[in-house]
Amino acid sequence: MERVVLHSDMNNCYASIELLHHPELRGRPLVVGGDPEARHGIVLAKDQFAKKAGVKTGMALWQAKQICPEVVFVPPRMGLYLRFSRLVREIYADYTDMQEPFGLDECWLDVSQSGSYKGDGMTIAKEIRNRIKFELGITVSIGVSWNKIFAKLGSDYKKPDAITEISRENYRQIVWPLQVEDLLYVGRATQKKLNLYGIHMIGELARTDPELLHRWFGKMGYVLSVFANGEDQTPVSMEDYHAPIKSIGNSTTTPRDLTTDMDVKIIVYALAESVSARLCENNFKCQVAETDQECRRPCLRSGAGRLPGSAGFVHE
Amino acid sequence: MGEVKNCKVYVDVDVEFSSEGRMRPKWIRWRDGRIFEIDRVKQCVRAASRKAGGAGIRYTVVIGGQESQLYYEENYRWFVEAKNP
Repeated sequence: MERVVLHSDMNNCYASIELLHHPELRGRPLVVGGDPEARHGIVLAKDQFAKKAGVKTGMALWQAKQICPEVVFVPPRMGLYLRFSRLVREIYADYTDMQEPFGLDECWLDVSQSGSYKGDGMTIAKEIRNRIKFELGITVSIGVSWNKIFAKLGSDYKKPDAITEISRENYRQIVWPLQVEDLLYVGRATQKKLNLYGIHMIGELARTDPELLHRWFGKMGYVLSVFANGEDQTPVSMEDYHAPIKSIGNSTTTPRDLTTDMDVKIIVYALAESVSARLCENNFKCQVAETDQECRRPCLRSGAGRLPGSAGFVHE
Repeated sequence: MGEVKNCKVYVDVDVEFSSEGRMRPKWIRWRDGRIFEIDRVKQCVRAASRKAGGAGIRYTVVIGGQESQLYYEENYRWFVEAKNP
């Protein structure tokens, strides 16, 4: 029996939740971020108006203000977003216990076993979309397909408040003309390399010999081929499954520029303390440490290295 | 876009908790101090109020023969959509 997999994505999650609670701000560019008065924070989320103006997630608040002077900033309220994320998953639970969250606002759902009493994939998707709009006042985009990769492409395809079905009959028309960077796990580096080899669209990737992709990318090459051809068979996890932790990290945006070695040392130690505490909580020790520093210019410097032994404490 | 007046008004509510764990609002105290007795609860569903700006459990109640909607925001607070903000 063919699987029926949905991918549900809450549209502009944090911004939408804030706009629900702030009717007076609707129609204006809105950014959810830190505290612009304290010069602290980045853009965590933006609404469609801020997006159209060129505001990007991850941008410093001062940059967002430069690009869009009429933008309104609201501080984040993680407790509220977590509540909405939980409420959305309670709706999903009425249709399946095979839910695999992908962050707070996205979730894969395997509804293959729900067909007999809830209807087919499109029927379930429509019902979920309508319920979320009615019960929570926000919108979702949902992709419906037979595998996780195409279901995610489906939810990205049309936004906001839309459902896209990618079937065996139409995937060549919908998926293959998309850019390779739209495919899950194709980041900037992989995209650049694929483009260098003349592969710009997912269809081109799908038609490339998997052995060639393996030569270029190692075993990831096979994965890319499988993804592009809709052959991914990875299951949607059960509701209570928690993936093993692969890394622990922390970061911060400082309220002023760091200009001395002591400034930097204080911040690094504070972050290291936090990471160390969480390593201890999970009975972990680490072998590889990585640091990233972002400067005003802007520029980003990264460094990673293997430690001489396993480490769990700050001084190590 | 015209100016949107915020019509979300938090109110005091007297609530009865049944032995089965159900909540039944009994009366509402308006911001001017008036108490409105709830004759009966017609419906209780999870719903959002885009007008007031919030989401929770929406109680459709009858007060003095008129239907109104009262929202429990699940943070120990109740709100209504005020007709005249």
